[in-house]
Amino acid sequence: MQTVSRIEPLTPAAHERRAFFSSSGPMATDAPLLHPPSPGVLALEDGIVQGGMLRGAPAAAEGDLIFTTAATGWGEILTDPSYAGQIVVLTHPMAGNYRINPDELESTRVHARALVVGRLVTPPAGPGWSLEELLVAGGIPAITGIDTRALTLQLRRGARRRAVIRTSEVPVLQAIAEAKASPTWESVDHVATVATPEPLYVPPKGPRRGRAVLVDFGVKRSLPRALAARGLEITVLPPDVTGAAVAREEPDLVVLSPGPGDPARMEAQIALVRELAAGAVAGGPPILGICLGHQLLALAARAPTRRLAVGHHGGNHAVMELDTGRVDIGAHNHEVAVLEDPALAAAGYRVSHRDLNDGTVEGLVHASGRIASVQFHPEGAPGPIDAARVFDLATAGALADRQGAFPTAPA
Amino acid sequence: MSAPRRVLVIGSGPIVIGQAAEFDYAGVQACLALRAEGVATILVNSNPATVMTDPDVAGTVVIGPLTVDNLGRIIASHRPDSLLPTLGGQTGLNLAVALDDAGILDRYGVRVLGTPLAAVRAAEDRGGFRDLVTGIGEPVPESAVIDSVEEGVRFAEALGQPVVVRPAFTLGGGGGGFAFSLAEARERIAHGLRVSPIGQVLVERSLLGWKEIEFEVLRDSADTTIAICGMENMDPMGVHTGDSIVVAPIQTLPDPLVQSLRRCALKIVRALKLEGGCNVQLAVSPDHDDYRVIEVNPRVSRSSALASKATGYPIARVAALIALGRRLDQMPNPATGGGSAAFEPAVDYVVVKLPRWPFDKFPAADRHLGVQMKATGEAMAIDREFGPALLKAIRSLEPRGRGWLWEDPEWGLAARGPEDLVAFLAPSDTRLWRLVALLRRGHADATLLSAVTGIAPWFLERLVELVEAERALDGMPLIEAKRAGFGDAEIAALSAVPPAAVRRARVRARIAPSYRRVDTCAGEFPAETPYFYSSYALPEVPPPAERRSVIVVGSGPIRIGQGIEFDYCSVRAAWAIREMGLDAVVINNNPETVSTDYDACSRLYFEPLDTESVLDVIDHERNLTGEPPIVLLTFGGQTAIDLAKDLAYAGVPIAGLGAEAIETTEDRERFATLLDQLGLEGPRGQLASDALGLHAAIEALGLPIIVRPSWVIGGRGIAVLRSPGDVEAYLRTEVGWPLRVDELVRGVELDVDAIADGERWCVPGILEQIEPPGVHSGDSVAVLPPQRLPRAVQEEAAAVAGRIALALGLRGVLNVQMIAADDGRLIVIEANPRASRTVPVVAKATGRDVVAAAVRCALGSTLNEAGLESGLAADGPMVAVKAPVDSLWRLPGVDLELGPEMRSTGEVLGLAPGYQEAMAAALEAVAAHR
Repeated sequence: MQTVSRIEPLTPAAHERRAFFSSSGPMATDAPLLHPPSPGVLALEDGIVQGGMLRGAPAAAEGDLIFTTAATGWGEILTDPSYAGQIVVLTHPMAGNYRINPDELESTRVHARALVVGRLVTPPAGPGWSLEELLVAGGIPAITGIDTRALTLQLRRGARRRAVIRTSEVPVLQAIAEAKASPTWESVDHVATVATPEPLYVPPKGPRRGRAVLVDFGVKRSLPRALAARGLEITVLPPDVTGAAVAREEPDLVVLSPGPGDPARMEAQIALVRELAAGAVAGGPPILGICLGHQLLALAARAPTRRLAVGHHGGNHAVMELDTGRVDIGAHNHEVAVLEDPALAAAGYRVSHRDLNDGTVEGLVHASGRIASVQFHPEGAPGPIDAARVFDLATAGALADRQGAFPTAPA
Repeated sequence: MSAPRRVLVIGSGPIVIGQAAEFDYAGVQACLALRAEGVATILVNSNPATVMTDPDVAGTVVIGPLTVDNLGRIIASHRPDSLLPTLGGQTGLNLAVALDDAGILDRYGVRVLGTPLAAVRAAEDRGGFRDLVTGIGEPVPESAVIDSVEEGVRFAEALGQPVVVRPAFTLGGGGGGFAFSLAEARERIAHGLRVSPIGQVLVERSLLGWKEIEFEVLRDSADTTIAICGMENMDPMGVHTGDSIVVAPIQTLPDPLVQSLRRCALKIVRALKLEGGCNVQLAVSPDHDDYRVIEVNPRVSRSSALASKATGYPIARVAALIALGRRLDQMPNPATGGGSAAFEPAVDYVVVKLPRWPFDKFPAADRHLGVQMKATGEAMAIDREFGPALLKAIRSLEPRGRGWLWEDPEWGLAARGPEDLVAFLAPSDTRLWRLVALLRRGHADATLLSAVTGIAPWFLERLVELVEAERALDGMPLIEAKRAGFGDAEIAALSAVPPAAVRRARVRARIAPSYRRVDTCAGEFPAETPYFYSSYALPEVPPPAERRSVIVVGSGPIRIGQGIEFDYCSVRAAWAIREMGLDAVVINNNPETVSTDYDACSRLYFEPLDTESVLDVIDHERNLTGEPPIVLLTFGGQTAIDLAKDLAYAGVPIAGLGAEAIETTEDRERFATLLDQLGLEGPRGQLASDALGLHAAIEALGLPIIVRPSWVIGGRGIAVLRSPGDVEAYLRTEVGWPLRVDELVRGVELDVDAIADGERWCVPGILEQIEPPGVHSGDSVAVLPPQRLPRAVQEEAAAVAGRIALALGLRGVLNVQMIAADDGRLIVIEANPRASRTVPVVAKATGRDVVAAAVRCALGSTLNEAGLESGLAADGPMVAVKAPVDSLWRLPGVDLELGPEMRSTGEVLGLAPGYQEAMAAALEAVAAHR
């Protein structure tokens, strides 16, 4: 049995890279054959165990359990690089109801380590793949028949999150021990496993209005799609790019992408962002940070981040834009949040957005007006795109005046 | 703009098909919310059987006709500064618009709160709404106004078929209809042009067979707009959503499409500038490539009540606060108490709603379903997956033999499938069972059924799974059968054992459901909502329960003969229990109602009202509190009373009422014996076990007679036979032998509600029926106090009721129907040892909390402790006239003659110092709803 506990760094062939933004990735081939279900077990490091049936790829898995309250969007979730290293628990008990269209995939591969569901439904016949077929193609298992509400309540009440999925032949105590022994989510350089090692180009959709550099810490397809839809041509640069290389692209806008892992350990990326931020404040290209990009901006300003007791994963939290009082429901997918710290103000930032449920910092804006960031995902996928105007404002602001007010002034 | 201080709230009037208890729920939530904000409310409604018309809910209550004239008078005398029109259904909205049109709002400076009337008009006006929706780039069904046949055919050709043809300016859309081919379209258009007085038709793209999706949206004055719940109709377009099986959350659509539809709904609500709740209906093509906006309802509705119960998010309460100018982001999350109300619920279960139709009462009615709603009520069920939720919803309908396994022998499916599958599966009240029967018997598969019905394959594949589980059930481990969702009764039937044996096996094996919290957030945050559903899943940390619990068994879906009045009783009972310092536990499954608002009780269980589920809740409450709960069956109508035997068999004591007493009143022979013992008189009559017996009885009693089967509800199967012809006709129907055959006594029929503490009794009021005996009391106009009988006769009648109550050993409330016969006899027709339809009327007319007194007596208080004096209460200052309202215009094929079968769906009350004025008010109120 193949173990996907450690994912090898992605070194895509050229055609695969093109596929990243254009076609179906794992769904470019015929649907894979399904394997018969077999009994398995989900074991958490602090001893919580549930039995179920293993479906999808015949693989074991280990990773951090996170739960998402999204009721739809399984294709988007599994292929979103931000889920690297994580085992995704679906709070909605029926998953796989519809066939997944290649357009719904967020990258060329499945990044989540495994899926934990109540019931994996075989969808009606038709075009697209079933969720189970995607799991097989992605090489990850699902464990089904799990009482995901019971598990979610345990996680909310503080259960430790490292977990393994094993066949039922593995003794339970051994499975728990393996969960304890697995590397922590924070200790792994997930960005390196998901980001592009070389530059990529995405053309604008419609007339070209400007150029963006998108620094890839784990780009999901919807992000370049949202930028391209606003007339930006996009150069996607690897996460180990230098500030000089970014500047050489002469971008109108630098976008710091979402991505997986704990930003506090990403020293190289923090240094890069610090350099880019200093440039922006000094009149260089303005910056829009999203999710991990937002967290890196805070860390670059020497403000701390903290892993949340319960991560935000779903499409139902409201976020308020503090300047306008405007409230939007956002798509959320983050384990880590920026802490409000005097360092933020010292570096010229103030909190621009807040989660109305728990007050989490959901956005920052720099006094220069040239750096803005959001913790949530205005691109949705899955989830609402009510706050998509974050992209409108950033694009309009960046294009209106390369020296001017960015991006606080609505276009 | 000054803050509103006195707000006029318009109710929705009597229950009619399409407008039911959901508006009592909305009104109660809104009034309580407004008053908690320090705002005085003036509530107007003609429907006495509502919680909202109690003064402790609404402050100033005016029970009277919902007409522009009357509302104008109320505005003039009570001088509200504001009007909240969006809580009283279409009735409330129409009245608000009419008051505005009449200049009354302007004259008295009454401001409209929440959604502006301009937005209401924009949403209601067909043409204006089309323009608005297309103006924001959202699609509506393509249509064209057509003046000539050729032009119309060209348009129909371009659209593709089917199309809908609607002639202009014909009454009720007469002369219109669907055209499935171009030839048919030509014919329809030509006909439409001929019948239209202006020679004009509208040709519109038909969305027949498209998926029907609804969103419940809230918007506040700061433009924060959120979708509380997306719901999917299992029945595709063509069946009214009130007649559809509805599922939440949306099950069969991919995320990008769900997001597009949600975004479209929010855009429309924003464009209309609505402030409050709004329902948006959308249609999605079966291939998911296309969608259309169908309509919006700029108010709370049946769907918003369903969405509130499905998610735990109280839409009406929040909408009322929005109307006061509060913002979503400034209100706390109504379920978790923290965060903010700007939050979209996430559910970690599946909700299924099934409609309840009145066809059991009206066998002659056309049972086909279409764009005109026919259901009187609905039941909702929650479980982790669709299958178990559906099975639980079926149990909640109380289908009387029509469980999951029911098949109509007349379908003739034993040997082969139906010849005309399309006709067999045309939308009807039995389509679900027909689909299951075809699958069960292998006559069709999911693909074929989907092609014929347009129901999404996903739903049919779930039915296939259930049928497969049913097939494998004999021999399946019991826990698996329970997880699949089968009720004890179905498991028993499929394994050929009695249901009680299944329960015994469950108890032995400790197989019991766990109760899960409906928390609006799928477990993401701690929540205190005392709202639970059962599931065969891992146990959840139970809520704290320190006090003894009293269980109020509710009345389930609204049907003819068992309406909103029992919800009134259940809610008042729960409130009385809480006031006594005990935990009020409610079991019910009707999503429209106040009783299924978790704010109305200490713990709410959204469950079927059958023996299995009620016993499961009782066991769970016993484990929770450490002592057996007290069970009240007297407020949930016949549904609750019917459980008495099984509960008694299971050793559950019923407060204030022995199972023996119930049987005594329900078995007519035993009841006759009781009357004999008390020296009271029943109608002369005998039992007939067949046609021969019936003829013998007629010989002895003479015509007219009244015939009724034992164990009846709402007069089902009851008939008055006046001539030999009537007798022959009755014998041709499906007669429920044995029949009780009684003389039809001529005189004045009385409805007497008595409250007893075991030793003494009180009758707070007597209703005198205006129609002659033989007309069902639910269909009769009635007056309190009686106008045609001297006080002495009334006192005698009250004493009769009291003596029966004491003889039955009853503590609580009892209803006795009797006739003060023209020949001076006082004839007892029947006694029901429970709260009856008349309880809310008596409560409103006398101003006494009859239900609270009954609860106190049932729980051991004396009459005096319960605030009542023994005997017949003195007449109050007001005369009350109750008048029935029916919905028969919704049900083609039903004849209009009144008889012992109840027909009306709701009632109104006229309340005035004098009889004439009260009668006039009642009749005016009835007229307002015709």
